[in-house]
Amino acid sequence: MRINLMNFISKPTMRIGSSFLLIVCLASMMTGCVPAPTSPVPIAEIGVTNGHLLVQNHTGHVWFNAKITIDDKYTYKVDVLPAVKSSLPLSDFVDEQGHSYKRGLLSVRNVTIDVADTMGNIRHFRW
Amino acid sequence: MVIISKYKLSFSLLVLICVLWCSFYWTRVPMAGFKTPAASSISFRFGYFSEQEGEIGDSIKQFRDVSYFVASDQLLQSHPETLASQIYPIYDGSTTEQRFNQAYPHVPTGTLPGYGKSVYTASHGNARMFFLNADRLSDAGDDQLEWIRRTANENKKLFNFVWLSKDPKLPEVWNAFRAAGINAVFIHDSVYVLKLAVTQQSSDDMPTEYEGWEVWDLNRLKEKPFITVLEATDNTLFIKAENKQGQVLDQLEQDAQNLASWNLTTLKEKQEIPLVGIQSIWRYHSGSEAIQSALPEGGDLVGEGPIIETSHTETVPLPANDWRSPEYNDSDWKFGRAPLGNTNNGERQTYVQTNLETVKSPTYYFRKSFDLDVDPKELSDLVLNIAYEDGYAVYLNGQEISRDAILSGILTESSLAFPNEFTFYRRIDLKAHLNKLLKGANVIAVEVHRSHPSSPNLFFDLALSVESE
Repeated sequence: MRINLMNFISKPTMRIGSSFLLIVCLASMMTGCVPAPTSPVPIAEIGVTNGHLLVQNHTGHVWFNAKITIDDKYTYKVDVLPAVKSSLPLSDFVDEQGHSYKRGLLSVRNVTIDVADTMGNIRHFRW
Repeated sequence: MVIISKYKLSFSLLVLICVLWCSFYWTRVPMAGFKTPAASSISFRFGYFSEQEGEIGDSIKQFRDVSYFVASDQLLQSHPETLASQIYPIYDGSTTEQRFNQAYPHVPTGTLPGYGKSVYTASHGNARMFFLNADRLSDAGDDQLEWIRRTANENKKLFNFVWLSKDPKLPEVWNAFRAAGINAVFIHDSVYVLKLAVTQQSSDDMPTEYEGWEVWDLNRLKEKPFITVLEATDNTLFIKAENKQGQVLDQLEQDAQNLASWNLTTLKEKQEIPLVGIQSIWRYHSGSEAIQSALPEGGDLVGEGPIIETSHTETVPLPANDWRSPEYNDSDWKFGRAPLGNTNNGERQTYVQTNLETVKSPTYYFRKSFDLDVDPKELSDLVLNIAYEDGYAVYLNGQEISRDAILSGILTESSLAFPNEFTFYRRIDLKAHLNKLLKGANVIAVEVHRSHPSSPNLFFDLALSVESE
């Protein structure tokens, strides 16, 4: 005799179960959206505090005329960025209109760094 | 309301996830930083079996906190089961040098050419151990004393020990040990120590015929067997006789810093001339893009060497607008009495004489000028005493002379130090930088960096002195 299991599960329970599975799937998909690092050698280590962007230059070289951009909009230009960890005030990042960066709930979604390499070519790194 | 009651479990799950997400956001999970384990204050702990006979295997098992042991070749050969890489043998003439060379594969060979393994040295932490061949110390052309002098001077350690199998009975040997700054010489049951370093004698310390040395005769200890333990905490050395239960039967204590103020060759106290005292008045300025550091052509921007010297160690003068330059105009800088800083530590706050404002930059700059009346060529040492948190770099007349807790190379006002414990007046020997002093006006410039832009702690005070013999 065949037993249909679906008959033993009530409709509300199915709804709850399917909702829970949907949430788990969504959470799994979101955590899987972090892009894998493209460079085998760490170029820099990026960190964010409430008021500063922390950049650890791992290249072993001093970066000259570095341009650091957050959220594709606010830029910070510095003549020299040594091969140590540096703290750059977020309020010193400005957009094209000269507005200072204000940290919000979903801020600092990405960071890009443009520096000249030893040959003088501009290199572009994005996190 | 009907929808909520219909999907109450789903709604509850959604609320729960929102609460969890909000709590994650509100707890401000640190994006950078780490926790370091508490450092042990004991820098080393060595054991020495002074007797020629007896049991050592059990002691090695019982003294698990002892990292290395020393014993005579004769004692080790009578206990072949205990031969291990953590035991350093002393050549005592009980066998030939060739057999000794073969018996201990872990002992470095050819440390002093021509002596095989009978003469060697080992370093652990801030201690160096010299193992000598006593039979050959009296030979004409023996190199051991010159080798000790050279080794001790080239790579200075706070504590230096010598093991010998017998007293060479030659005053020149003992004078050479003293001049090399050897803290203690172990010969069987006798521990010879430099009197100048001793802060607490053992119960049986006796004078010796050798100038500057006194001896502790371990043979007079009533309880046996025992093991002699060498243990150091910061600058303090303890030499203890401990029984198998680890109880201290007797001990003596040395302070390595006591030797620093003496010329150990002549046994005359060095004359110290203060140039900059602690709690001096300093000019200071918070980190700002207006404070310029030049990048001299040919300078090493990331190297470990002084950054203002080229690879050929030629001095590169800094422009007058570089804050490290002696010619820099700091007249618009504030001035205040050291220690300068700010802290959230109540006890440390009582030391601070000048509170520094917390600013966006993690850096503060300090400058001070001083005069030197004597010719630097007549001086024998340059000594820095510095209290700091977290990292610093010191420049004397535009050239770097000291740095700690921050990477080498050029620094800017945004540079961060390593997370670092507060350092309270650390003494640093800068003899190699005596040539940077000038007769007349000199300028010392210091940059102190926090380890994190939000760190509540920054601390600085500095004393600079020279010594003449």
